[in-house]
Amino acid sequence: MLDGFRQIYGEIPYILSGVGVTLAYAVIAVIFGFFGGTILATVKVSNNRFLRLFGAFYTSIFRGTPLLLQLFIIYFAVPQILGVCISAFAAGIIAFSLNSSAYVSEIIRAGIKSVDHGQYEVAKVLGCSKLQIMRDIIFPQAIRNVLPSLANEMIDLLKESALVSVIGEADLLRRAHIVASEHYLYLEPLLVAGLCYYTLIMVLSAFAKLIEKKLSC
Amino acid sequence: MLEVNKLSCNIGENTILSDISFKVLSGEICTIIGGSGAGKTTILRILCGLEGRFSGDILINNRKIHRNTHYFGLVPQGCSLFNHFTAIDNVAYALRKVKKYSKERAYTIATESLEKFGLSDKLSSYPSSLSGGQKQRVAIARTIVMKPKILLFDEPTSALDPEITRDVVDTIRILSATGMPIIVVTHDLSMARQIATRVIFLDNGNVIEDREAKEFFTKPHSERAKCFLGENI
Repeated sequence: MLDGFRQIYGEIPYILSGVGVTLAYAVIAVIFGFFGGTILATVKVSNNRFLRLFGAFYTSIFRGTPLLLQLFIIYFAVPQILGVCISAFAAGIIAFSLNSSAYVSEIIRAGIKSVDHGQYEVAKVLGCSKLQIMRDIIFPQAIRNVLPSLANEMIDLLKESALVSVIGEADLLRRAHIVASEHYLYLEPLLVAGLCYYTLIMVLSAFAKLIEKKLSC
Repeated sequence: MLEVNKLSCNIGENTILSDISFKVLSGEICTIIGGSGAGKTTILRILCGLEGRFSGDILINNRKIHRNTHYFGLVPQGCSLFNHFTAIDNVAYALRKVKKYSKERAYTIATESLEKFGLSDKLSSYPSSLSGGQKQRVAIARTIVMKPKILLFDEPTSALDPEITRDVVDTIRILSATGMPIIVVTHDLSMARQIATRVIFLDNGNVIEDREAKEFFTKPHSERAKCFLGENI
């Protein structure tokens, strides 16, 4: 194995540069997914039946089909309908964000439901508006309650970003695979990629724990 | 003075309250007692605007009111403090967001109010580090600073030990001394006996008795009330 590592030594920086690509997908999709999921969660707990149905339908579609299928539809099928080309990067970001929104919305909805309803009622009697109650009272507590689940979703997203290698994006996994094919050595480049994923996820977990600790009161 | 005329509440096919009328005068502590499902909490929810499915009139100082919220202050069962806020933030929040007071003014009022309730050393404490009685006092302070005309307590002593219950009873008495009409919904007969000046006894959504507390506790008229009070008469 050591010999194998010696052979691919010069290629390791090439594999490592994939970290940036993987991170770009994960970070951008996490941000969009969080905002999308928050809006969708608000829709799901609203009093409007139509909005609630829309929220449930959206989630069922994105949870009920494979992420790879969603990625293929956005990358291959949407250009066929709209007649415009979508870059692999944009397709990846759109697919991951839409998919993540569905999962995040369920997590945040559960968080909103976990906050004692009495607080909502007290704030209402005190004269606060619905927006104030959601923004200042319910939402901060909901997020605090579901932080571990949100961190899990981010970790999943980081790992699932490897799917973009299928549509030709040179992310961490794809680069490891290219190096493997060139050298007919699979274990070593894949181990390098695995170590990178592992390190990224450990850093992310530590960061999530830090925020969790800071928000606890 | 609060006057409730022919208040009825039907939810689905269930009649929660049927044609209830009563008055609460200034300085009175009116306790509403009755078994589970009698409709006690529903009255409070209607009064403070949390339950809209009702018919009947609510009058304050002989004026009919429509939007109830700012007339009534509610101290709910279990306090429902905002857990991510400190005690002072809990009290100052509505002053800032609803009354639009400046940060400085809101916090000055909140500090004074909490000090009045003996919580000057708990201003920066989160609800998780407060005792049951302290939480109750923060909840009362949070309600009082909004200057409601009538104060409503929903089961203020549920899950509190006797010592803290005494504490809460004293606080309610002090508030009553300011002339504010107070309604306390409770199933804690011993507390009702200590603080009530008037008792409304509810059963199945009907007012069975509405009398001076002393009379009610010593000589209840109805068989239902006698049965409810049992050995406590």
